[in-house]
Amino acid sequence: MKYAFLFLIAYGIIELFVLKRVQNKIAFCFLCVSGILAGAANLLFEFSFFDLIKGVLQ
Amino acid sequence: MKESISPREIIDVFNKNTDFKQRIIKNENKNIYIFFIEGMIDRVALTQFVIDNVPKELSLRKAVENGKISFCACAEAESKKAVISGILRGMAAVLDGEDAYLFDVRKTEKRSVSQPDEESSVKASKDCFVEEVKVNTTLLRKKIISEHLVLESIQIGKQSNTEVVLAYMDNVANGDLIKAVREKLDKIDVDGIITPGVIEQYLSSKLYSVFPQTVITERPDKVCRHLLSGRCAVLVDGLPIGYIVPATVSQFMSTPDDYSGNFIFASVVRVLRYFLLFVQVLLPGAYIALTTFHYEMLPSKLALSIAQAKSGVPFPVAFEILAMLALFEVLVQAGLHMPKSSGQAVSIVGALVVGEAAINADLISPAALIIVAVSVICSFAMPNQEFGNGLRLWRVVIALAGSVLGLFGVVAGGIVLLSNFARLESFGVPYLAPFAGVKKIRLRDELVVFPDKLNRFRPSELNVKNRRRTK
Amino acid sequence: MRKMSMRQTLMMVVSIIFSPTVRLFSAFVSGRGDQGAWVAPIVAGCGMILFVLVLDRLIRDNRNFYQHLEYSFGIFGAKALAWIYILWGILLSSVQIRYYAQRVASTIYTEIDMGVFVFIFLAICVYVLNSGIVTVARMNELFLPVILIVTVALLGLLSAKIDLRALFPVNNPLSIAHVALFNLASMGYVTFTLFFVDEIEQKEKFKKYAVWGTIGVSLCLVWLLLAVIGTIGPTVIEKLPYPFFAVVKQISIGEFLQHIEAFVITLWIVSDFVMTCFISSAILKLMGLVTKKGNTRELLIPYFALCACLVPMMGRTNFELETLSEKVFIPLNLILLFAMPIVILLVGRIKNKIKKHCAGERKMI
Repeated sequence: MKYAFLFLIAYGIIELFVLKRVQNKIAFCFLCVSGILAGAANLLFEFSFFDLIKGVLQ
Repeated sequence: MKESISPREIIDVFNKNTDFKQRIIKNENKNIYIFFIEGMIDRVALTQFVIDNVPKELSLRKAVENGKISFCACAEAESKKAVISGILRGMAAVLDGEDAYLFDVRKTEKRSVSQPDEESSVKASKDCFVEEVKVNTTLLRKKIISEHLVLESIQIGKQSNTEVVLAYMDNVANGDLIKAVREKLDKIDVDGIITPGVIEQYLSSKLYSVFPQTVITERPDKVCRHLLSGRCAVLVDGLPIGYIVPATVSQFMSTPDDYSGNFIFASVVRVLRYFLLFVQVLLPGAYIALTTFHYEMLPSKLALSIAQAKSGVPFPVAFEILAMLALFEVLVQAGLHMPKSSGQAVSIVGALVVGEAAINADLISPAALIIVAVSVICSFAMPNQEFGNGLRLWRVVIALAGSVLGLFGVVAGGIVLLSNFARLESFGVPYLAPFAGVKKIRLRDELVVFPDKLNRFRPSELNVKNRRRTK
Repeated sequence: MRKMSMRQTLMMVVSIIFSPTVRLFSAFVSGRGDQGAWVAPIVAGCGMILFVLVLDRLIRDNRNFYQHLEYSFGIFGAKALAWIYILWGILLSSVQIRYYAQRVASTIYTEIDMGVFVFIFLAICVYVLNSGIVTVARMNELFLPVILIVTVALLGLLSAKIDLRALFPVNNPLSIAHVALFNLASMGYVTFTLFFVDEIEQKEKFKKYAVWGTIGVSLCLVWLLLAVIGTIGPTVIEKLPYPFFAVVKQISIGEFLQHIEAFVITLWIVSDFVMTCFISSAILKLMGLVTKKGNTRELLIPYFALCACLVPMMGRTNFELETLSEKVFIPLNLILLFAMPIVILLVGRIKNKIKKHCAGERKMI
């Protein structure tokens, strides 16, 4: 799962620049970019949303 | 507009054919030509009712109009194309250079109406379709004596010009459905309709599906029952079958016998059939999943007896089951293509090798054999072989999923299988109708058989013109 | 466009409520649930019926959710709110997928990485949703009766073991309120119906179906809580990760029918599948409306790939996941699924009145 973003990079590039059949480019790019960022953040920092609310809970 | 047809042109078209025959009768002022294809006409009828009556003094037109040539099946041909087509269909063409007439003196070799081979029934009628479309339409007309039964004829096949008949009840069937079927038939662009698959492919909405999207039957009574429900049927010259559209899963689960006997018993049998459908598809996969991944889920005594039976077998359960399923398919194929006399030998060898010898040699466990046997027997209980073939394929897929992922794989495979059913539509009618995808879920006369007395309405999913069947 | 009926839509909502029944006991984990919790679904059901009336008004207006947002909050407000919904929906889908994977991985596949289940599950979702939510709606028409029959049969079998002393006294309104909020958070998925409104036929039947559905679901939840609390007691529930599963594990009829928890796992997977497809389609539909591009089929793969990326971020352990769910998603569910439709209705009505008033004044002038 940690490497799902690699798939997104490849898939996004193929759809947008090779097949060029994406109509809803805004939503498509939004989803791809968010996925890539999320995947990279998870891989690099072992990020968990729990860390965000930990401070509030304490 | 009528065009003048020269006999010379017709002769030019056919002159290379040895079975093309011509007879010229000298009239007072011109020759009368009679063209036909040998072997396709009734010689006696042509001689007695046409040739003998060709007048010496009258023109051809007058002879027909005055009743001198009194043969009943006579039609004027308006064009050269019509004359050629008529001759090719086995009619006799009579021309005098000005007018042309076609006399239907056809006499083709045809199989007589016999008992159905594939869809046998105990009590229902014993006639079945033959290769001659005219005989087939007659069978329908005999069962539904109504002016509302419409039989439209269409010619399909660029080379074969095959006659295809679209049948429907014009006071029941939805107009949009008739139009859609007609359009689909008109769109068929093939050289010829020699095999049944062509029509089926064109009438299916999703080509890449293993499940049939038309009901193919050899029984006229089945076609008639569906015509009366508001469906359409397609008959093709040269094929001893009828296609019924739209198709739904429930049609593949019913047999003519359901409506021939006691409806309570028939209902029980039909419910059992649905149960067997699940058993045949899921049992091998579930067995592999439970014995490989989730042993703890089996009752302890059952788990022990399975383990004991399996103790000497060197192969994993998944291999045993998949190999047995493959072997079963091999046996089915061998049985299909062998002559009837050798077919029995194949069954005996199969039963001995697969059954006795394999168990005695500890190649497979008795439990695995029982599971595959139960699944196979269940698959034979499916009334429609085309539908059963689709399920057989999915049985292997689910068994594979079960052997890789256990129970999760079986569930995942089941979900994908069901999605395949759910996405299919036949002429706008959901494949799962009337269990899903319809305004009102209907179990009567679908999951259970309903007596005709109480079955007052036609299926709602067909949007028929007249929903009420009886008062 | 293939349309689904209101019955099909609400049947999906009922199916997906089965999945969070497991989390119904989350309140116990945090020590807030007690023996009287079985009253909570009745309270939640009453609240839900009132909410159904609000939704019915919105559905009858014949506008989709985004048009409602636009009408009430203007173009910019609507866009901002829609993107909030989209972000929340993506996170909600991810958390549901994580719950599903965790549940499967911790009950029957303790030695397999949950990523395997996530990947296969998402692949199935993409495959099925490719032919539209109507396909899922049709599949669910067959799933729901099975879910109901199996659940009722399991609860029936459990009923014999209920110890009535474990269910009384019912004297802690705070506990009931807390569990009721959990119930409401899962019942609130009915709001997603608004997202699909232009793909649904027979909108006028919403109230009838939704009220009967709420009553049925509430009774089922009461029975479920009665069976679980009455069988193992509230103190044991606190210590179990999957109390319903643990209770079902105890069921056996003679020596033949044992370990029928396999059915529960099967139903969980099915219910999770319907839930993921339902929420994801709703969010993708909203995305299509916001970006004014109707075709959302091309977004399926990036959407689910994004969810796959987000799943590990939902928490490292089950505790983190539960806490995140309780502290973030349940309040968010309550705000976005309950409070927001009420606000939309109120603002819409006030705007309507002002418009009518202004029109009246102009006529006078």
